[in-house]
Amino acid sequence: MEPRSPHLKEDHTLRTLFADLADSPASDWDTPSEKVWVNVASELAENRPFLQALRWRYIAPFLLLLALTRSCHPVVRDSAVPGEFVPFIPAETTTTAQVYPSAPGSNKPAIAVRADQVLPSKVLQETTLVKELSITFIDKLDYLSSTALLPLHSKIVPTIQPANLSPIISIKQPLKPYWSIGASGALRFPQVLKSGASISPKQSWSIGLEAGYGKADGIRFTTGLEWSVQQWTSVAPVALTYREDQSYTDERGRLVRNYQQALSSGFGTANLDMLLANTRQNDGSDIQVGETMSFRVRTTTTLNYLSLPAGLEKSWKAGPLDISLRLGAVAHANISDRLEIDRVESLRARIQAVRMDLRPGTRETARFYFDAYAGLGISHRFSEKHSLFLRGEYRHNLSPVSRGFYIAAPAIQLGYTRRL
Amino acid sequence: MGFVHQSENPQICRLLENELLHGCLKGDPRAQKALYDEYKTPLFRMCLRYSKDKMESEDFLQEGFIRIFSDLPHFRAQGPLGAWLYRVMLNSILQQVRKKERKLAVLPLDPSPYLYPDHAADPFLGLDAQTVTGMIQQLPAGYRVVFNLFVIEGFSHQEIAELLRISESTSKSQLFKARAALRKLARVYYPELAEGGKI
Repeated sequence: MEPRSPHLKEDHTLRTLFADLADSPASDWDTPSEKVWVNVASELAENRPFLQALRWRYIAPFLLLLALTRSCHPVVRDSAVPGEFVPFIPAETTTTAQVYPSAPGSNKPAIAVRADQVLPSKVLQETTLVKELSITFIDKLDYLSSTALLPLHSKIVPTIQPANLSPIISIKQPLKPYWSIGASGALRFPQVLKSGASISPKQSWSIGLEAGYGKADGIRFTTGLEWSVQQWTSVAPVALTYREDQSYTDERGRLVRNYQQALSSGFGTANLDMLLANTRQNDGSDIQVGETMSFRVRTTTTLNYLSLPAGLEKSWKAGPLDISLRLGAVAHANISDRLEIDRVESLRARIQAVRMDLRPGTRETARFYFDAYAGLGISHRFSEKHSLFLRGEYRHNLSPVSRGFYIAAPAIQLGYTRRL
Repeated sequence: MGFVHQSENPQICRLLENELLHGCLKGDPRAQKALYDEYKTPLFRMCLRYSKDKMESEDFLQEGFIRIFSDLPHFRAQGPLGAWLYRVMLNSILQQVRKKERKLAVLPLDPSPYLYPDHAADPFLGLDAQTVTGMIQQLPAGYRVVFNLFVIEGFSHQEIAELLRISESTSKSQLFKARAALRKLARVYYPELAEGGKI
């Protein structure tokens, strides 16, 4: 039924026009160019389903970490079941502080701390491993100074008094693993390792939250969540052929024309729209149609990442300080990005760039990439639970952050840890 | 809403729609390309209507297809695939337009507003899709989007206001100005109609 209102009539005409549109092989006005599919396919290849995209080289660092974690637990082979391994998980750990009036091999009185760990075994029912934690010689048996008790945790020997001193003090308490949380910030100084373009990374930073699971022997597994901002600049030459068709004179008397050109940048290839003005000075150096105009375009790429670090830390006590060594890997996911033009330098004085727009082209920056890291740190324990740390860290791309280059970044990291 | 698209592509005939979907979900590049080939033309026509030129339409199409492939696991086969693709593409286009235009500009039109004579003939009757698309592309972005959503897609002003985060009265005003601008453009394309007093 034909609509009566003129507007409705018009709308009906247009809706019908587009709804009943047949293919028009004679004209390509409604056919997208091939580059659309090329760009879509390239994007899809980068974002294959998660498991498919995780290649061995990406998984390898985590498998390595897993292997390292397992190697920290001695494995007891159970001969009754060939091939089966029983992980070393202590069923009970007791710590004994033993006072020797005269320590073996020495005439001095001494206090020794040892750990007895009982582990289950199908064959032996139970196995006891004894680990000597420390032995401290003391000057006088009838006086236990706080220095002498330093190796003992306050929880292990909470109420020891000189008056109650007996030849043997044995206190049994399980050594429990512990959890920790923390926060940190890092300043990074990235360097490009392989580059096909003139990329200059800027100083970057990150902040993060950390969670850890520690064992009594100074090994701690750490993970967390980081947010980081990376920036790099790149300079690319752009050469355009001067043309006067489709140009017009603006209000300032300049001959203006729009040019389009692909621009290579740290982010990838972008499409650059430039509105260029010929100032048309009468100095005899007028540019001729067909001549090349050269520009240098400097762009800044800003990338925000959410990252998941996972690593192992081994620490050694040195008085109130802990010295730690960390190894691990970080998975980065790009959450936002921006490409901006900083500066356009025209190599012909009479040609000026009036306006520039960037449109997305082919992305070369990885949406996901992985780093390996190693760090050496020192932390100061303010109390039993709280400590501050300063750490030097070195990160290296395991997978390239961009198609063209890898980045390595030394960093300084400052943070706080709380033992739960 | 939606479109009907009959394919003559033998590759598509072999791959039934379900197989096509299944292949795309598995990340099979052949299935992805087949889906793209099947729907690129109607979706590109829509992109053309929302853009200022072919280059911008290709950007819309590219981003739209990337979104389609990423959202495909969420497709529930409760309706036709074409309608779902159409909706995803439209959302993607609107998102890109919003990003580009920040605020859909309400531009002043000719100081002497064109008054629509009730007796006027339909100025678009007899024009082909390419010509009308070209005319729509010449509209300012704000007019173009509202015009497309209201006239072609059939959204109400209330729905457009929600989609574009503008007021209903802005939507109505944009549509009014878009209609006026289009009639003027039709007069440029077809001066013989204007001379005949039809416009």
